[in-house]
Amino acid sequence: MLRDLTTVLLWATLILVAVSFITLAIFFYQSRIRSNNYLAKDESELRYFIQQQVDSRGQVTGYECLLRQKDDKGHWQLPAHLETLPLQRVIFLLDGVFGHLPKVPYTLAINLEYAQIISPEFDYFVRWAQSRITPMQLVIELSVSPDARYRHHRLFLRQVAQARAYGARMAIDNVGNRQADLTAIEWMLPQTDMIKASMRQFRKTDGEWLDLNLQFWRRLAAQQQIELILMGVEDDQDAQLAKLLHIDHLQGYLYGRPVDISQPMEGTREE
Amino acid sequence: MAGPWISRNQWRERVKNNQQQLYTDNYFAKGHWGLKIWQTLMAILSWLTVIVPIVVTGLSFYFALTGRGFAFWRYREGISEVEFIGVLILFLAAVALIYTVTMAVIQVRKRERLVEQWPTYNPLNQRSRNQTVEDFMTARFGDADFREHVRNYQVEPEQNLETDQIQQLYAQKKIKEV
Repeated sequence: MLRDLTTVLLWATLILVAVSFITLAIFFYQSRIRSNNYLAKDESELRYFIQQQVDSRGQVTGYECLLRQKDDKGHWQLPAHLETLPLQRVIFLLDGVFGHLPKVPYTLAINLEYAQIISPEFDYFVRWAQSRITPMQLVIELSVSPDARYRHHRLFLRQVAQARAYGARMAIDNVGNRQADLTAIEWMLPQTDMIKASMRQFRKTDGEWLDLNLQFWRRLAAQQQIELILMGVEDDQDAQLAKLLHIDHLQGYLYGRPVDISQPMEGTREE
Repeated sequence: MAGPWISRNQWRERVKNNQQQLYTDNYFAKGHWGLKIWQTLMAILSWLTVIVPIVVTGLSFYFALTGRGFAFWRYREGISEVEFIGVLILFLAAVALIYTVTMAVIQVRKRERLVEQWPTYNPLNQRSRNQTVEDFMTARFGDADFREHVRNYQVEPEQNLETDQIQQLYAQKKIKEV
């Protein structure tokens, strides 16, 4: 009887120790050795370039921060693996930009990935970033791809609601022209302040059919009291179209290319 | 009288050298030979009550395992009882180890990823608290530039702050929470 109990207890001990050390080893391997935080590494030199947003009268209303990474030849390129950028680093990148901008209540938009928004740091990030860039208003932009699968909808909506309570705004970037594009973002609309549509998606080539055109997005935005921003405005023809559709918020090469404002004189190297 | 008692001057000396007398024990004072012999004897006897059972159990168990040495007893039940208690202690040690290691991992992770990376207070509230106090002081004593450079300033009776006035300001604006 006692012998049996001893044997059982001994095995239980051994299994307990083995299981916990295997768990620890897997945890360590996942978090340290196999880490793929490309953009977390200090040697990757990152900088935010700034592109203006204007209203229909050409007045600046905000800026979008576009992340660039210095390559071996010294050119600033769009980095790969954007989702690996630690949110804490974004704060210091924003600091570098904010110091060179006028202290007026414009919007300052940054692009984040879905995984970053549902991460536990997001809450800390938003309130810290917003407090550092006041009086500017932080806009969090998210590009939604209809082909990707987005999980944890409720967590996402909760996180975004909290961010909006801190005074930040939520924007859906680069909405598309297919029905699937609408389906992919429809559930986010209650927590969305802005929709950004790119001209590139809505220029018709001959005989092409678009499920959703700019007029549709404009109506939807008006219905849901969402601000519509037209991006990629390249020439006067695009600007005319925006005027015709009463789109008041514009962004594109016509109004300014992304510039590196920490070096104001040579900022336009961008393609 | 010999003993732990020291004169007032000696006491002052010790306090001055930061060697305060925090407790007294006749065992370590001069004299008291009866006390010293009695307490030493008791201490040795007490330790024996710890050591003797360990030696008896240890030797007997060692004999049961290897057949060498000297056995004080050879009961079968005794041996399996020692085995059981040994495994029980091992089990408890394993549980304690897992608990402490897990807590350490959680704690270190939280420190590295949260406490050292993010402000754990609300920076937005912090900002509006600063602004609130700034506005209040400006309204009462003049703007920051004046306040920081004035050479002579007479505070009027009605300018004095009331108890908890700043806290009440925070509470009004609902930014009391840190």
